[in-house]
Amino acid sequence: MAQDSAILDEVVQNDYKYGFTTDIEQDLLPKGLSEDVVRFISEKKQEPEWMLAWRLKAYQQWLKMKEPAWPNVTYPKIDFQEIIYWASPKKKESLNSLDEVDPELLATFAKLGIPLEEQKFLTGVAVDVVLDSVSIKTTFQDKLAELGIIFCPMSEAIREHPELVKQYIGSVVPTNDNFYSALNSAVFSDGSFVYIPKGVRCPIELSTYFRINARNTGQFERTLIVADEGSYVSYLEGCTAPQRDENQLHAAVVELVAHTDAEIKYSTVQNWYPGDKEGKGGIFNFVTKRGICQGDRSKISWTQVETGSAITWKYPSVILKGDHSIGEFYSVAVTNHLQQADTGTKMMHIGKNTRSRIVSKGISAGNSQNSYRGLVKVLKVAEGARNFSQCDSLLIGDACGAHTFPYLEVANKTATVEHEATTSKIGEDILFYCNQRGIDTESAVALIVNGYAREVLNQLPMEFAVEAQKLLAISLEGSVG
Amino acid sequence: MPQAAFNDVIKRSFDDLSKRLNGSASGPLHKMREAALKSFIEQGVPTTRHEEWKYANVLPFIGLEYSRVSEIAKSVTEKDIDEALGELVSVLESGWRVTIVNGQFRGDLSYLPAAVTGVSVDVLSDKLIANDEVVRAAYGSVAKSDAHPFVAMNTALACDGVVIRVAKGSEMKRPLHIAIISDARQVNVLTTPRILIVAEEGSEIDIVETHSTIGDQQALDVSVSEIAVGSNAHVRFHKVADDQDDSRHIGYTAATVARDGRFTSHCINIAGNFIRNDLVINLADVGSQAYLYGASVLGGVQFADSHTVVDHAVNNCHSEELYKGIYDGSSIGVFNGKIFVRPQAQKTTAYQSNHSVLLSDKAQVNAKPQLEIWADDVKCSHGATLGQLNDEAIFYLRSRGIDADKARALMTYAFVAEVLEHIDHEGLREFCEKRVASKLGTEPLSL
Amino acid sequence: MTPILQITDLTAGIEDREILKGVSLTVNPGEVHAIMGPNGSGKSTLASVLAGREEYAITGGTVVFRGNDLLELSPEDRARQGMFLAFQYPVEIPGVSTANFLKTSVNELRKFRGQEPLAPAVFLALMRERMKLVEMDQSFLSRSLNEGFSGGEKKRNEIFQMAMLEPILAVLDETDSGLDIDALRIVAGGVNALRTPTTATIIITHYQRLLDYIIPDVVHVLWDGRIVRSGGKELALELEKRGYDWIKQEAAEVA
Repeated sequence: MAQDSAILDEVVQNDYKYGFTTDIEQDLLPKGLSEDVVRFISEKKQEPEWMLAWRLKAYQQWLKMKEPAWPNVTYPKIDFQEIIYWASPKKKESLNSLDEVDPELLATFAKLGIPLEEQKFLTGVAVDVVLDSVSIKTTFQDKLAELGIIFCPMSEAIREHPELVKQYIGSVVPTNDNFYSALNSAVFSDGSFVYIPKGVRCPIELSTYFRINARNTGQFERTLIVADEGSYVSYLEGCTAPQRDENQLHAAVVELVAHTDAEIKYSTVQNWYPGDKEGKGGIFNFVTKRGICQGDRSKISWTQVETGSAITWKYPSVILKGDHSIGEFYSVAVTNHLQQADTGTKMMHIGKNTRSRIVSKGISAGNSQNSYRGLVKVLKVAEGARNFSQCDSLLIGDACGAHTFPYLEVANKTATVEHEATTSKIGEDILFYCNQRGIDTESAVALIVNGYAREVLNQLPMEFAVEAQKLLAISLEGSVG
Repeated sequence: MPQAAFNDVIKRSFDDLSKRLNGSASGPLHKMREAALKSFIEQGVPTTRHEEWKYANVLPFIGLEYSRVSEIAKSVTEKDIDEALGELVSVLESGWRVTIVNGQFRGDLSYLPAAVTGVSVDVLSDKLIANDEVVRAAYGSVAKSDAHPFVAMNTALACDGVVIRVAKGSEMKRPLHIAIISDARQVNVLTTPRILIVAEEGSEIDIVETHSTIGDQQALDVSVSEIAVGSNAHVRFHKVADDQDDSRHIGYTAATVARDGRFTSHCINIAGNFIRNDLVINLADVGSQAYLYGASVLGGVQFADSHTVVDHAVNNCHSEELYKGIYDGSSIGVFNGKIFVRPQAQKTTAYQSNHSVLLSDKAQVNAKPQLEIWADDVKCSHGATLGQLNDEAIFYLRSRGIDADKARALMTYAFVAEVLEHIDHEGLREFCEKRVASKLGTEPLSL
Repeated sequence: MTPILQITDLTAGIEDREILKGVSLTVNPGEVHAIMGPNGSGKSTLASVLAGREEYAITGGTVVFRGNDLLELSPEDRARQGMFLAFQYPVEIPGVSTANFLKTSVNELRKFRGQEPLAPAVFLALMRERMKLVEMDQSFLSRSLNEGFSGGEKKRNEIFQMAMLEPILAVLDETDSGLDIDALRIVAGGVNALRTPTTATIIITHYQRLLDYIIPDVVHVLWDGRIVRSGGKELALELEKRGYDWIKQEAAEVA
């Protein structure tokens, strides 16, 4: 309950809160993409030959591919030769304590409300901070190492755990899966790698804060999480980006692998810069996220709160291969002003008695467009598959749009697939009722929206839920009355 | 390349038609045909890469050689039609019948209303277009060529369109049956029947549209029906697909509904090899309403694809949609239901539900219920379920002494009957119930 | 003694239709006023206008609440100044628990008065205490506000909120309609328990029944947008016996 008054305080503030730029010297590659750029990145990361070969293959595939045109979004054509594919802070020596971290960087995180020290001591969350392309600081690694858990930057994993990376990278999202996954595979800079050994329950929430910092730098994160038999991990991904005028491209790839009896919970709060009220600037967030329930009784659960980005194009999906495996997708997507979101999920039922659950809450305000796009596919062999989907839309104002595009494809007679969708608005009568109880309209909207999204917010770990609630309120400022 | 071959068939047919027009090639109708042909060539034959044709593959049969059809149709007799329509003839005996053979109106095989009844039937002509403002406004604009490749194709080739007008305030007690026949006894035929129905202010009518194939050769029937529902008018439209097992039909029905008007549609798919129905309803003025009911009962290698669009263009309109499907054998069912609520369409209420049951291991169903909303003060919902029959209910029936097969057949029938019971015309409802029941191996329940 | 509420010649309407045609009313601290009248006489309009519903246009007159011009204030500021409206049709807010909603509301009022927010434990204790007034079960606190509540539960929840917000002036808009006798007794008991010498209550009702449980100091009859008669509690009994027709006739004669 204490969270609510905090939200109300936040609501009073206006423009994008996290819009500031950190001045750290950058080591930039010139704009543009070529085979040489791919080689340069691989060399900078001191990668083995097989990794370079993998990247070059992806680059060749990308050259032959076209940008997808089917999402319900419009934006100016991206010139992929105008993007910088490599940037890293100059201080590259590894750091052992927070004292060694650039003070300006620490100040940046303080402004974001996620001071490392506090995170470390108060919340017990290990933070793998990614500033642009190179991981700077990982905490709690010793403790995790005791359990045999690997939680490190992808570049480090490629060097230190090549056999694991080689086995799993591209196994869930093939390099040629789509235009942006191919691009990411060719030029990915860094990201996180997690491996949870057999039977280990990761005792803390693993968390990474991504930030886009340098001008004109695309961000191409690559994350791979492998949960071995009987293990459990909860992973948090949070994004806040400084304010920019130019559009920036973000094309991440996340792959999850859950073996027999393993469970992966992946939570995202996405708050990239959405652009200003006139739609100027903002991040293009074209992300491929997919998990595979490889083993029997495994479970993958995606939870996302999407409030940022000018354009979001993202479908965290689950391939339910193991028998009795479970896939979940919980999403709140807020669009305001001129934001556009086309997001949803795919649940591919392959194993026997697989179950999936989809809860999507879209909130559209201003002149924004918010689309849910989802696929539930039950293959012929998927005996006893069950799915339930609930896709709700909340409209605030009469200049926005809400769209649902659910695809239900069933080829097995024992399947049960249920889909429900509703749309509603924040009624004048509800606002008046709140006003009469002394709650002003802006706070009332925050209250109502948080209530509407509660089923999804409840899926988030506590600290994240608080931040998510604040973000919902901030994102919708000025949308009513 | 079957597409290229098909385009050639269409172009040649168009050229033949142009030559035969004998002077009216410069008239407004032919100008529209020219534009439509251009539009068809531009849009091309859709493949499964096309979003709206994702599950409906037309390539296997568009590559066939199709003949010009005008001469052959003349040999069709009353007896042929009776055979093709079967029991439906007596079901609709009390009504009128407009008979169209291979796209051409056959007055001699029709039973038309007398001049005073309030219903008139005409053949579309330049003269009619020139003299009749309502027909001019409706033809080709209720169903637009650029919205759908097969509408463009139909518009390019249709030369004997039938215009049915229901006069202001006329409440028709008798149904009007539009019997569309494809005569494929000698050669493969491609037919393009075209209908325009204008229900003037305050009128009311039941329309029954059927498509039947005669003969053993291949027929591809690409039909378009345009319906303009006047203010406070009510059109009850029924389309029953109960054709030969190897028949192929691509149909497009479009309706615009004026102020306080009502359009009710029943699309029942029972027999036929490939059935693609597009139903596009534009709620164009305040207070208009649409009710859409559909049922597909398929088996064997049947394919039925129901595409519906309800477009709420203005405020205070209402729509309800219920589509159900039963799929046995290796049949494939598709439901794609779109609801659009435009920015001006405040106070819209729109409800859609779609339920399917698979009876066999090889059957498939694909559903895409799609809501697109640009107005905030609306009540819209859709629900879709794909699943099995209620085991609990079957068990209940068995515990009352009904054997398992019969119990299942009864439950299956009851599942579909929920759609059929909305058909107001008693004879037609009973006919559909009987046909569905016999296909499911049971008898209609007297509920 | 300064009145809590002073309404003078108030005229108001909706979409060009005048509903209140010159209402005057003075409510002093410690008083309970009942406003009665047949359907369509303007009772609920008066309640809505006092709470600040925007659909209604004020065309004339003044309303002074605790020395300030009430009509100048936003609905939330009226609430913060101590005006409480018990809604005839309380709304449902999915996903927002009663506890959460009330906490937001109570702390908004406290903020306005320059007070610190209540500590969660203190707040919870206070809620538990006040719930007893209307015999509400604690399980209601974690349920979504009014969602799935019965008619009686919704009305009890309104009085519970009133107990939490401690208003200076409470306006009960047809709180008794649709209540069975037990619920009516509970609601009335709550209202009586909250009576203080420094606060006041306006009860808007169609029926005399509620006034058996809450004894008013003054009874007004509203007819055709005007208060046509005021008197003691016996006026309510007379109305119960004779109906509204004689009032209508009298009013017609005066006019």
